[in-house]
Amino acid sequence: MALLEVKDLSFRFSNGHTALDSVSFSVEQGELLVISGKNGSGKTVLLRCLKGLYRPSGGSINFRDTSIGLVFQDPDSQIVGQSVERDIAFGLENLSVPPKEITEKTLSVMEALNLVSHAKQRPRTLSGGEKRRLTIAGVLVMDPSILALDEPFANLDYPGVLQVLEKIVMLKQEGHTILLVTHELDKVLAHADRLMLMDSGKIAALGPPQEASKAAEACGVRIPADLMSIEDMTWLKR
Amino acid sequence: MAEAVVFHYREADTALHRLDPRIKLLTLLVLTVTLVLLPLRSAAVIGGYACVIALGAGLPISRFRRELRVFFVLGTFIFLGRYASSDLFEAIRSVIQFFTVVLLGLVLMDTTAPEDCASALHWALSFFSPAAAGRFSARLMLTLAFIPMIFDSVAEVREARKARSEKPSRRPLRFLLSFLEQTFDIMLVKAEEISLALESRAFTGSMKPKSLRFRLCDLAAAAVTASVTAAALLI
Repeated sequence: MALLEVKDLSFRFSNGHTALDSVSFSVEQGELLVISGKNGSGKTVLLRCLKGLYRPSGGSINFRDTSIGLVFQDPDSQIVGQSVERDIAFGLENLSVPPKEITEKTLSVMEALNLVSHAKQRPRTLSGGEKRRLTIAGVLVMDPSILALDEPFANLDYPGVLQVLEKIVMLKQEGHTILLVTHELDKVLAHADRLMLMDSGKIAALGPPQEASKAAEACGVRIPADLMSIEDMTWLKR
Repeated sequence: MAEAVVFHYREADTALHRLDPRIKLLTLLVLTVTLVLLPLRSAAVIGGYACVIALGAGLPISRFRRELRVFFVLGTFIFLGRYASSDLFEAIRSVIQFFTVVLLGLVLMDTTAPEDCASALHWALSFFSPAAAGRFSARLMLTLAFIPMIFDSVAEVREARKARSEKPSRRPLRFLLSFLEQTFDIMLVKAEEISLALESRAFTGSMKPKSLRFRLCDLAAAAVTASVTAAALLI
């Protein structure tokens, strides 16, 4: 049985613009589903509907004992703590988790995402890649069944992309279920189990990366010509 | 990123930065009340003490020049208003009161992290209403934490317009309206993003304070403030 099942999901903004139009798909446990499409195709709205931040106009979202942790595109919107460790603990404090457990979980997530040395540092002073890792840690610590990442490589330099990509691959290997929204397929597609391409609020293609990526150009997503095979589409050295 | 933000925490390692935020909050309250109630000579003592505190905190006043201009304009208005309605001494006393309160506020915000400020406020309010303490301190913490974002946005808009050779002096009113519209537009988008991000992290509008403990140096600082206040009262 799927971990998450979305059926005929629609979302319309108050000005009448349709952002999602009868979107249906499911997500299996431990899967890395890459969602791509040009700007305005409905990727971010889809994640926000899944998280429950936007109320869909129609359709259904069925979870199986599932919670979604959403990492926003702009890290500065998400970081509220005055130090790295305080920011990671923020969500747990809101959930009224006992202090001892908060300390343990925060430390464990900081270790997983290589943030221990920055524990006391102010988030504003972190680099782009470190900030992104912090936002992932802040969500991961709440132990969601599905981790949804909205453009995790946006505005990052090469080392920053590597830092974030390494952690995403590590989380997948640990069995986390990940929804990753990006239009930079060449950085991550080699690690994906499936690719979903969106166009004008609809699913244009959904399936194994080898198959679905054939529709990428038509959906406004560029795949560099020199990357012939899906296995090449990663920035990690293999 | 804004280099230095007025009325916002600046990381440094001074005695004032290390001081318990509750002592800093109480100092601000006690000195402000004393300042309002006492005559010119006492106000001058409190004003002098505030200057010493600001020096101790290493307050980078010169970097706040642009933001502080508005306070100098307000100070001038206060002086002229009081001089017209009363006498020179009363005008000077009002100006000293005004700048001392601004200076103390600057020192408090500059040396205290938003979270610590919120915890101190929570401590003070919890004597009256624990529920309200959680709500108010959470609001204070978030407001303070997002101030740099506001300054960053304003700086970004200003620089982007400058880069496109805009001359504010050519059509000042049009410039002002369009600048404000653009800045508010950005702020609204950011505010929506932030509220969604907080919601997604189970934020309910209340906060649990950081645990604080008084140390000997905190009590010593409180004693110094009490002595200065007593001296001002005796004068």
